[in-house]
Amino acid sequence: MKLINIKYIIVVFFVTILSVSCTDEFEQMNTDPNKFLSPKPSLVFNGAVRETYLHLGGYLNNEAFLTYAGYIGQRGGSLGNFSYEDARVNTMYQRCYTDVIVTLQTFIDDYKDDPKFSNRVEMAKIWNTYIYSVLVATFGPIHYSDAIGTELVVAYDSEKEVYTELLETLKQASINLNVAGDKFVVDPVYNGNISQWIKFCNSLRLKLALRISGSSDMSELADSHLSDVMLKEQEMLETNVDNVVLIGEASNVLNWSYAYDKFIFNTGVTISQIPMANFHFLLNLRTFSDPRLEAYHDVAKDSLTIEDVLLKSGSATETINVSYKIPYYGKTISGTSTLGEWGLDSSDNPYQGLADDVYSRPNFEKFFAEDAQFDVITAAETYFMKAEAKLLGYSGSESVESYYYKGIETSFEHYGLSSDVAAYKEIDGVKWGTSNPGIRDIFNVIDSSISADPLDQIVRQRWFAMFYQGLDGWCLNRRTRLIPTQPHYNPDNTQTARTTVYAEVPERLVFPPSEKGTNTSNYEEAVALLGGIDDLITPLKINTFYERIPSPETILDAEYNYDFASGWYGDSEDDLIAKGINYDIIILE
Amino acid sequence: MNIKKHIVLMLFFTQALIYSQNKNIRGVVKNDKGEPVIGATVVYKGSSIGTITDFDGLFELQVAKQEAPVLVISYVGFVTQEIPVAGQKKVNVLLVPSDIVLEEVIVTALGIKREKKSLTYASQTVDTDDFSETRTSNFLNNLSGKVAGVQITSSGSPVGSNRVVIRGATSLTEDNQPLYVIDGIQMSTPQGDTGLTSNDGGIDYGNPISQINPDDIESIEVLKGAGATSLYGSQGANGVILITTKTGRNTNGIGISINQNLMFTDILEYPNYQYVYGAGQIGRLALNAGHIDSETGYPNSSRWDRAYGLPMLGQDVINVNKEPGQYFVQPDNIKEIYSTGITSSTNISLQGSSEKGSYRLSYGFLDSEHTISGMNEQKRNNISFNGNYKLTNKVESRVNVTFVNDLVKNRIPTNGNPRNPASAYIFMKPNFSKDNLIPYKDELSGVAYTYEGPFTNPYWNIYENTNQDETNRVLFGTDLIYRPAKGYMFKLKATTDFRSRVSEVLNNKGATYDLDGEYRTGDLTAVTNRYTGLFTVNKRVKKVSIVSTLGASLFNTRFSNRTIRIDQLAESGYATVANNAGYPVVGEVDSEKEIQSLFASASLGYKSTYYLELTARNDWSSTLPKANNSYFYPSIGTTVVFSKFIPKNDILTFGKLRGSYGEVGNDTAPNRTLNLYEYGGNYLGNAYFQLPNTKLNENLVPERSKTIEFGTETFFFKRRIKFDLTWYQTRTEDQIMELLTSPGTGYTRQFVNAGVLKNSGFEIVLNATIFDGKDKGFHWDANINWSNNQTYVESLPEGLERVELGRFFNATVGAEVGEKFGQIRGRAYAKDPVTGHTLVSNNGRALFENDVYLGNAQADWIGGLRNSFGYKDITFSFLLDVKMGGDLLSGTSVKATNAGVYEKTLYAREDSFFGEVVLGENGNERRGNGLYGNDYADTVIKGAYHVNSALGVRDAEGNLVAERDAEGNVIENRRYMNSQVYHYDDANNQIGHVYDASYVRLREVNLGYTLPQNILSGTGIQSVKIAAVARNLWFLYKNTPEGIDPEAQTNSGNGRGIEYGSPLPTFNYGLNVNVKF
Repeated sequence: MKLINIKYIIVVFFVTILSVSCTDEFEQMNTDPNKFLSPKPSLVFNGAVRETYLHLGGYLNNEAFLTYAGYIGQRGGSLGNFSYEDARVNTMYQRCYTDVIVTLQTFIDDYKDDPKFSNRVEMAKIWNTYIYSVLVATFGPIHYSDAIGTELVVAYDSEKEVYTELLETLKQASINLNVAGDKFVVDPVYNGNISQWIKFCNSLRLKLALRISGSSDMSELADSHLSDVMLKEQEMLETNVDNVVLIGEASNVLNWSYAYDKFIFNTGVTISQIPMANFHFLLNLRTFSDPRLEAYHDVAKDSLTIEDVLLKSGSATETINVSYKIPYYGKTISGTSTLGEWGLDSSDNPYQGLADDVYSRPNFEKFFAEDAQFDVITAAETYFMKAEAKLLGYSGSESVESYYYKGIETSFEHYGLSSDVAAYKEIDGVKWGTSNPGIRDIFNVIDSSISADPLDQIVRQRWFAMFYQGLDGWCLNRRTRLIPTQPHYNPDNTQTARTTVYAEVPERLVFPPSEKGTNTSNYEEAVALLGGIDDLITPLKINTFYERIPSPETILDAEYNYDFASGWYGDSEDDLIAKGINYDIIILE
Repeated sequence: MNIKKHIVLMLFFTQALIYSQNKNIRGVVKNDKGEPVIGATVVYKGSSIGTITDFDGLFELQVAKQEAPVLVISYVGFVTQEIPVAGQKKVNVLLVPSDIVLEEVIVTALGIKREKKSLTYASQTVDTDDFSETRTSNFLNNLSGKVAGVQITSSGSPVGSNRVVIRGATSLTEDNQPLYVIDGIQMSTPQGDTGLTSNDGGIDYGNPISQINPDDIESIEVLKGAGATSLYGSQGANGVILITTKTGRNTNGIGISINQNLMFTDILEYPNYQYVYGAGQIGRLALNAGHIDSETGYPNSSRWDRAYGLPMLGQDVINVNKEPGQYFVQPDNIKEIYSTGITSSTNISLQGSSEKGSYRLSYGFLDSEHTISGMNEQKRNNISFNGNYKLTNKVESRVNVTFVNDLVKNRIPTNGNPRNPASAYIFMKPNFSKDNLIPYKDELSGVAYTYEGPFTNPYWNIYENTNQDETNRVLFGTDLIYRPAKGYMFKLKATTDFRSRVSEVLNNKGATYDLDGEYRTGDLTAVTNRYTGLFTVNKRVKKVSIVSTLGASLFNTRFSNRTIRIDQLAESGYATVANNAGYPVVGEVDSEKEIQSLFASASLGYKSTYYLELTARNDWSSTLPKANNSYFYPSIGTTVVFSKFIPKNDILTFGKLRGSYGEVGNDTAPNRTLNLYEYGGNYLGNAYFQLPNTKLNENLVPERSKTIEFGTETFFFKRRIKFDLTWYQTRTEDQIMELLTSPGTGYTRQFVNAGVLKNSGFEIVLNATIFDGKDKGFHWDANINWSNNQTYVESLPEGLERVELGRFFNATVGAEVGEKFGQIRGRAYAKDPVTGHTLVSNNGRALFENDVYLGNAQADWIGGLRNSFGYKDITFSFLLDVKMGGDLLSGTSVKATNAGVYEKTLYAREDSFFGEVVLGENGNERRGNGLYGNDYADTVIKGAYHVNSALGVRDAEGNLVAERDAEGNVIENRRYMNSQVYHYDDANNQIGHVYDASYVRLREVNLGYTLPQNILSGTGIQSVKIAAVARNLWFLYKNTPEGIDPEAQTNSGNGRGIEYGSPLPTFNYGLNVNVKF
């Protein structure tokens, strides 16, 4: 090549570089080729439901709500010990918004003016309302009216503001939903059945209205919705077919239930961390010989052997000492712990030295399988809500008693126990208008007695029926304080402002601690809306004030006992023989 | 836009004016080896008319009007020549080297060489002489303590990511790493540990800059301020590290150099452990039947995740390896994990030159083994070629090629990752040892023997979790230079950085924390190309000198990564995607970025005394939205050589004052503007889509950092002392950052433009020749550098008062408005606001407050002191590296306290053990309360209690305060509790685990001996140098607990101030032999 050419090329190339300024392709270059601009709305909805199952039905339920509702025994960990970890609380709150609400809200915003999508927009709103209802009942003030906006910081709404909007949204949705209208092609909730969506909408509205009915702040709001929604009592969940039950998928590891993934599959979890039966829940079911005890729980792997005094076979007076195994045993919320003030000798503690396998666990197939169910709302629950609404004086075509029994019947049907329901309804304390002295708990601090008060019966049966609906159980207790659960006798006080050595069930969860940094001034206003310090011990507006009397610390007649287990199969040796139970006779010397 | 273009063109125009000047006298300046001297100053004596020589050593000047003109030719490192030139048209000048450094010429942006005295900004040359001797596998470690204003944080792992920050962080959320330019090739150097959190950790793939072979490095220049970096554009916003590699210039014949280096690594410090109480809980080995082995009736010592058990007296137990054994003290259980690491580096280089050009070819091989045998095994091959060739007198071409093959096996997972064997020391029970931890699995099932808690068997981790990655990298750069006339140059430059990394990780099935195992593979490719065209003018006319540049560049970088992950292995031990029992998860990441730029600069000098420098640049970046993708930024600077105004004296030899103001605009990473849905997977037979948790921003605008800088450069006592002082202030505005946002927005992170960070500080460089060592006598040089950068957060986006940068459980490190960058917050004992009593509840345990200020991670100042001595053929040098101030929250200390392994957890254990286990007292009895409110007779202390504590109660406003009596005096508390519970409280009190991370460290020691020439004569060997070297030998000063390196950090990101599971500090020592033929 001649030199002149090289020089020429250099200069021309130089000038070319200087003058090149083609930025037209910049936009395409800066678009991620592995993402999607506008997928089908039903596939977005599908994702929101999946996340609800995994997060609300999985994470939140298993890590906090089930413990707070008294459905499982001692779990350990900070939440299980009535404290919290920042990261967990952040995740609990955050995923509701970032993995469910934002996708549905974006869909609502994009399609709200398009009549072809009117039903789907309402369904998305109902689903978001359900998610918000969990948030507001857990944290109190939450992000609502300003949520999913364009600002970096978001104000909180008070509980009252949130419930006002949620109930109004449900009211409008039940009006706007059109049975003949559009539906999601992929609808894992009701498979496109709009009339069931209407039932869900009304039942949820009844549930939220009752939830706030005890709050002086919101009683008017509750009243207006209760009186309105009870007019629609025909359009509520009626049978178990109407239940909103979310499920996982055995064939897809990514859709395994939280409980399977966390407790069964993951062997990093030690046996003591796998949820066990709650002693007090078992105590109550046993008190009323409730057949759901066996439907809800699996027999313990290595069940507990107890010593008991029974009537000798064929005798009505002579007793013998026997030992036999009982199939079910539960842990209290705080395991073996008692309070030092009671003067109980720890070596006599019946819990002392028990291996983890003596405790029963919730029914594996239903609650720990890969595709374990999660009940969002059920027909049985709806009947108990109707019973309570009717009791409060709202309209309703049936009597309180009738709703109450329907609740029990529907619950029994849900667990395939319809044949047992007639006998059950005759038991003292279950039978409408009857009471039961109950059984004292293992420390003689709490018992399972029930009064003949209608609300006491409705609440107790609703607690039984809503097994594994952790949030609903927790809400019911915080509102009524009628569920006989014990305080935590050995709580973790490192995070909370609690100064007592025992702890009642948390009144709420703290605001996500990350908000102190990312949303500081709104966080401070949220604390003001809360009306107390941002702690587990500050009650929400829906909670009823509660002070246990006498205080657990001052209980002096505490005593270890086996009342829960004794006479498990009956009062007589004959019962053991009839039921084919192996037993040993203990010869006392 | 038009105005900006005009400015660019105007700067260019100034060159054209000078282009038309006459020229009469020509000459060439060569050194004693016959090489052209580039950049030598040629002036008429008694005037300031002059020029500097070009790349061929040529110069041209007007004939002087003086009667007997004398040319003064000077160049750094050479004796100044004076040559009478009356009547001459052509002069040949031969410069001979001088011992005293006179004028410094340095490489500045875009490879333009400039007289140092004309610079208007701070730039520091790094002494690279001993980089190949006091060697580490990442040469960046060798910069530590050597450059003012540059803070290097070593990752603690030889294959990890170092953090290099010049003048503090300018960006809240980006990595703040400087731009590395090697021979004009812009390197893509993403940190290999992005996103590794303190709790989870992961694999740190290191920074790609570490692949440069220190044997190839000729010099390193650090450009600090915006004035220095504006010509590199956005990518230079954090400063630029210019690396020039060795060339074959000035070689007679063929030069061969062989260097062999052998370095050994050992642990410098082990933690202080208690070897009294073994695994267990509240002074027991078994709490219930579940803890007893059913066959033998012995307790399982593996059940426990803490060492709060019994005194170890040889009790029979079942060990972790499922074998019966004794519960004995194992004082070497940590030491035995480690052995001496060896790193061998071999380098051979060949070089030669002729009149037409020169070349250098170099091959290096590094073979390194870690202190944990089998981990961090590195084998690296470097081949580099560097050549230049003159096609004609006016056209020259240059080529640089570097090829790197880097194979690393078993990188150690970092931080709190359960797979990190190096963090086993946090949880190692005093009765555990290699003997009872191995075998760690059931040979038949392959399942690891289980035990509770965070302790994972280090031997499982070493042998069953493997990983491997191989990087192939090519750096290629070529220049074509055309000099149409003296002082004018067109230059075209094309460079490529191609990097591919294939990696795989096998976490074998059977581990307690991951029973079904995991396998993943990644295939990453990154290509960065840059094309630059430059036109420069380098002239001196009468009293005016000018160095001016006009250029354009096109930068393009593409990245792609393909990953496949298997969460369930079918068979134990097979590292292949085919070994799949579940669903492979496929990942694909693709991005591309392009920046087009137009830039110009002009440096005008007058009388070699006054200098004015202007730069201007406009970038167009593909990463910004269309409307905002063009941004312009200028700089201006001035220098005055004030020593010209004062009479010559013996004290001040040279002095200059400089000041500059510069801006740098900055874009962002690709794919940050358009919000799109992600495919999530399938649910119940249908696909689902979700919005990502990060919200992108369609309205991003470029960031800007603005630096104002003043400085002096002075020489005293005939240049025996050099003293430079710089003050600077940088404000970075409109930061593009990925913020943690309230989930109420629907996103956890969002990209925004906001926030202002302000950096300011002083930098001092002091070099002194204390003994000048004439005639091979004793010489002593001392170099000091010192800097005190302070980074403040001036503002954050509206409504935000904090940005979280790092986290250890509930402790955070962040940026807070009005505070120093790096505020550490966390949990501490609740205290009475008036008296400061620790508040406790009535079981004696402390109450806590969260989100309490714990400290700040930022250092007050950093510095280095280097002394080098020489006598005859022996040289000796050492470097002290200093960091003062800055706090460190040690997660290791928190967890080791919780686990009961630290020696300090012995406090009150014996009392607790006696009261609770031997006497069987309950909590009330230990506190002196008998049953039903009666006193308990025994008043001997039975455990621990919080000193200076009181019962916490709530006052009328709901605040926690100490319980007070009727007179308002605090009622002191003395509630004894089990010592384990007390140490739990201690572990929860995070402020107690925050340490001052200051250090004075003996960083480098080098003792060298050069064989006398007379021994070598006739052997063909030119020189032999043997050096005994060592690194990190000694902490002269440190406040962190034994075994915790004050430099330790959880990653190289901005979340400084947290350490968790960091490697034990190491030191290195070894030998270097260099032979030149």
